[in-house]
Amino acid sequence: MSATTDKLVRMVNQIATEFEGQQPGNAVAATWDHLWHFWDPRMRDRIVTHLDTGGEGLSATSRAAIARLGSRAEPQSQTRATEFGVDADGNTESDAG
Amino acid sequence: MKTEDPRIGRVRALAAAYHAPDGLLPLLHDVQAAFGHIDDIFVPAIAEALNLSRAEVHGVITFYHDFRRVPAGRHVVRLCRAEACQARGARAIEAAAVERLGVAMGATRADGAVTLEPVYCLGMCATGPNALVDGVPVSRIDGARLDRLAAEILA
Amino acid sequence: MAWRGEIDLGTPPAVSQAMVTLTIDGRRVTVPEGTSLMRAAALIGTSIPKLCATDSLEAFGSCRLCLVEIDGRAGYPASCTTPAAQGMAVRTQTDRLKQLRKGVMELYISDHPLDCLTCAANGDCELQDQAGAVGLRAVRYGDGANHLDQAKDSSNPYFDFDPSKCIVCSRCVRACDEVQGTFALTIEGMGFASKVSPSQSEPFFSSECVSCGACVQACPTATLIEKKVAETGTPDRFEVTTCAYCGVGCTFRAEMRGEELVRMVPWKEGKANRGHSCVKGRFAWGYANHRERILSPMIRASIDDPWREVGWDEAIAHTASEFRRIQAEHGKRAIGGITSSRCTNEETFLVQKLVRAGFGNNNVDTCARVCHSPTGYGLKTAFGTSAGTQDFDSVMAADTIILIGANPTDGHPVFASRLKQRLRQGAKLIVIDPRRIDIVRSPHVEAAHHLPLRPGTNVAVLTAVAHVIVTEGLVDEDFVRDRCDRAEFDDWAAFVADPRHSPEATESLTTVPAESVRAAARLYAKGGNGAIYYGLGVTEHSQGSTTVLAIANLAMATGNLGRAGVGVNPLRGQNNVQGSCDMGSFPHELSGYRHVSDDAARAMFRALWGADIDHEPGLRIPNMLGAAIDGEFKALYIQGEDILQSDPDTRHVAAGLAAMECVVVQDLFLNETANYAHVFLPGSTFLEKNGTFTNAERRIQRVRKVMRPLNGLEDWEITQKLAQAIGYAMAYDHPSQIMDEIAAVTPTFAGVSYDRLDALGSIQWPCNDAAPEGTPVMHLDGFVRGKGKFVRTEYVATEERAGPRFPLLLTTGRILSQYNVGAQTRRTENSRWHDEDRLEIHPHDAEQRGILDGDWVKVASRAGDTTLRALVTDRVAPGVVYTTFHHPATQANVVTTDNSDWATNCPEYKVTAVQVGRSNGPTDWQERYDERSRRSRRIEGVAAE
Repeated sequence: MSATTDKLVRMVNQIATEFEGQQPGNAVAATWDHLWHFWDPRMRDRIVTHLDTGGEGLSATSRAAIARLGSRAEPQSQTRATEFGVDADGNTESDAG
Repeated sequence: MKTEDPRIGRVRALAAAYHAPDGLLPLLHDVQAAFGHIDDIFVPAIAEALNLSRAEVHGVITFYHDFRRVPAGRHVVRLCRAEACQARGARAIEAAAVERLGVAMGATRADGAVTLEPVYCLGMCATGPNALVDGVPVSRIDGARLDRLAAEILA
Repeated sequence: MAWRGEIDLGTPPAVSQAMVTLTIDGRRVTVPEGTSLMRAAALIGTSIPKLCATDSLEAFGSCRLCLVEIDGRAGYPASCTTPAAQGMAVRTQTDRLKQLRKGVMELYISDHPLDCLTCAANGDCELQDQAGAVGLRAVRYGDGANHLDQAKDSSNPYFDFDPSKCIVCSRCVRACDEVQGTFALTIEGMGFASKVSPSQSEPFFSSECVSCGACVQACPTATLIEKKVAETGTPDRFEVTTCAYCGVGCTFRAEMRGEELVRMVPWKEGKANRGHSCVKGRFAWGYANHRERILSPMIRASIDDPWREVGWDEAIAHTASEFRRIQAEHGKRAIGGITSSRCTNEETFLVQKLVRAGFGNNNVDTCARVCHSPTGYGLKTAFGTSAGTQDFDSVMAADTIILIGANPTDGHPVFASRLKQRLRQGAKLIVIDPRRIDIVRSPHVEAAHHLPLRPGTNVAVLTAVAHVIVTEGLVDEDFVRDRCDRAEFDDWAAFVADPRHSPEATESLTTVPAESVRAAARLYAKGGNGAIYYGLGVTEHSQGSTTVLAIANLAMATGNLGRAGVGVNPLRGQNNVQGSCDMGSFPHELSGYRHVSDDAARAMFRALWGADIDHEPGLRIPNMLGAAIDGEFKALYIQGEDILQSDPDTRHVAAGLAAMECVVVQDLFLNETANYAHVFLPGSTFLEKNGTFTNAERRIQRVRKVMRPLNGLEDWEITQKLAQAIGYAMAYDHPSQIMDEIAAVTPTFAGVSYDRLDALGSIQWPCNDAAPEGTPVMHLDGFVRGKGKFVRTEYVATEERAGPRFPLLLTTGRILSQYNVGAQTRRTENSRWHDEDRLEIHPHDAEQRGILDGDWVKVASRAGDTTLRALVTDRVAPGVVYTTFHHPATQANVVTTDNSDWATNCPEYKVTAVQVGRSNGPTDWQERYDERSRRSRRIEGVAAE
């Protein structure tokens, strides 16, 4: 495993572990959402490729999240975890308050 | 690391009885009672104990004439310089005392025998010139009495 | 001293709703009850002579110059200490008063050297002014005792103390006490023998003085005066500008003579600093003219070659052609940029615009990656905005203050002075920090609780605090019901209530006594207004973002949000790190924190910029470096950041940089990163440009150009030239036009313009139609995201833990006199206070290893090793060692690892498992690096020094 892949494996496991504690029952979706919103496509491609070639070192939550990443589906553009000043209709508001 | 002066540990022990900032004056009295003076090297420990700055402690020590930063002589003669004693001849007595005791006003003899200091009124104006000698009031000082005092002190 | 013409009202304002009306010299004036007669008079333009009074200090009543007469009262009371009363009739100028004042002034002058013509303060001296004001024409007293032969103390590198000119008004002593809170000065002795004494009659430099400059500013004579004024002469004009050091954002008068900066004096109207300063902003600006500053662009084919000086056109054309070549050969995403949190909002905005619109990718990041990125993530998740909730003034209404992972007396000194003022008024302090930082106990300030936790256990401690709040019934039920998501709260409350989160259960992990945690929790929950202030000791951990969420949870659960005196307050590091984040410096966010996947936001930019923006996030700094090592990332434009020295795991950073084909460094000096650069573009200082900075309280303040850039161009002009050269049109004439563009595309900045900033002095975003003058305190009636979000905070131990090979935990921090990598402060006299980084180690750990104070020691981690000298102290707990990272020779970040925050990749600087042992000298890495650095800094035709 290259140093970069090794680092990505550690990172995704760390994210997955955090969401397992934070949102038990929703950790896979949360991890997938996070990877999509915060990782450069090259990082995502590399981790997907790693899973496709055996996924050494990946936790179960990580594997499931990366598998979903590999499906190329995109989460909503602004998810609950990252929404910002969005009203019920999805319009961006000012954040005065 | 430099070894700490053992007296500083005793200063800390004295300070343990007080809390800042209102404990400063009583603590300074305790320290002076224990060591005869409040050495500059005690100040950091006093400041630390009461959570004051060194500057604040220094300011208080230097404000009061009764706090000493250096040890006094074995005897301390405090001559009154206030108006009533001056009217009764204190200036001449002061000049004589400087000569007999062999020490300048406000100083300690090199051999540590005596410290001569001014004081401004001891509250015994009717019986001046007055002095405090090692804390004991002495009144109606004239040449003869001064000679006896000097002899006892320098004995 | 006060700038000539600046109005000094003599005493501070009174805070009272009740008003009183009186007459002063027959003129009616109405003032708040408690206002001094002096201030009341000054408010109607009557200046009563004064020396010991100034409106930044409480009235003192010692100089006896400000006497007045009051009808029906005997005597001549001092107007500074006499409060105005209803119906009072005051006279400020009568024959008797004139005579008294003249007599007082005559006594002052009788003991003052009459060398006005050659005095450094000539023409800028309150004593001189007041002698004129009272009409003193002669001094009758001749050869009596005086203080004229007292020696001058020149020990401080920035100001002189000449006691022969002192009038013993105590303004310096009071400024040190009341404003700065250091209590380093006193009046020694009594009566005629009284004199100002730093500490125990010491030179200023070796005293307790922290060189904030408050005493110099308060002095009404030339007794305390800046050396630079003595050398140069008094200034003749000034511009108000904003300091370029920390996130407090102090505003200063940059006082000039021609194009020469004479001094920086804190601006009284500045809302962030309220007229105060620290040793960095006040004095440490000499780097701007340092001989090592690079003023010509330079290029080289290889990092092993010497630099070659070229003109701007050649440098820009070369850079643009390299960037285009690399994109053609390796793809659009093979290059990127780093914006500078030291530069202005406008400059930062342009760099990210260059990357997103010019380079066509989202590979832009900023140094917030390595400091407060978890704050952005955490607070956005919990509240909906990536910023602190309060203004700095809010601290004056706080009753209980939690300080966690921040050391403000060193890192944010001007805020620390406000905090200490509030603590001296009786507010309670809880410090959560592995180290006994100064504010835990310093003159007149003492923390109610210090929780010296094991580094890396923030989440466990804060969850235990939450456990106490929930299980002891300390939750603010009304707040939670009205303002927060109930289901999420219930889930969180059940989670923290689990006995495994109790202080007793976590004590062995955190090493904090359970009873301290319980006491701190009770105090915060029920001790009036509770405010949390935090710094990098929170964010720079593997669970940095989780800790920010835990802080937000505590504030919501106790109802400590949405008013003055409370809140969640990140003490931001760099002068403009808040701004650089606001401006869209992160690879996943556009300005105003809108995700790049937000179609509506991207459409807005496309319309204005004429370029499509990638809807997927780009690379973060550590990932850029990793991608470079993998051959996928080839060029980087770095504006004003020294990633080699400041980022963790130096060897990884060096390898990443060395793997790139074109590294462009835009900076003032050949910093450490420039050792790996192919192009050096000389930058401009904050004194040489127009723009804005945004401080930790979201306050946008103007930076004003006081001199022309020595390098020829302001930094935004360099970015603009580069954009033009790569074929992306930019045509700004002035940074105000960039701000207009920012306002047009950023909802939170909609109401911001240079005209508005000039009119209001400063603006705290959000500023828009709903809040046209900005927003000092956020989330007043509801959270920006709607309902406040509680998030479970499960403690996850860092992978970095002490073991047999590396038994100690290293944590890092800063010191007052130096700033971060020290590129600026190391090139000033500030280094006299701190000329090397030391390793703090507990006496127990030192003794075990045979280490004595001052010994050279080697610090080794799994990432690398370095050497520095030891400082044996019980300020750190056994098992913990600590160092600063200001000096490149120390190479502290060779030791730190690539561990990082799970959500943001913010490095885990605060926890590295290390071993420490005695050493004879530099490590191999230090020697090799030193050699590379020496070779890399060669410039053709310029002799090495």
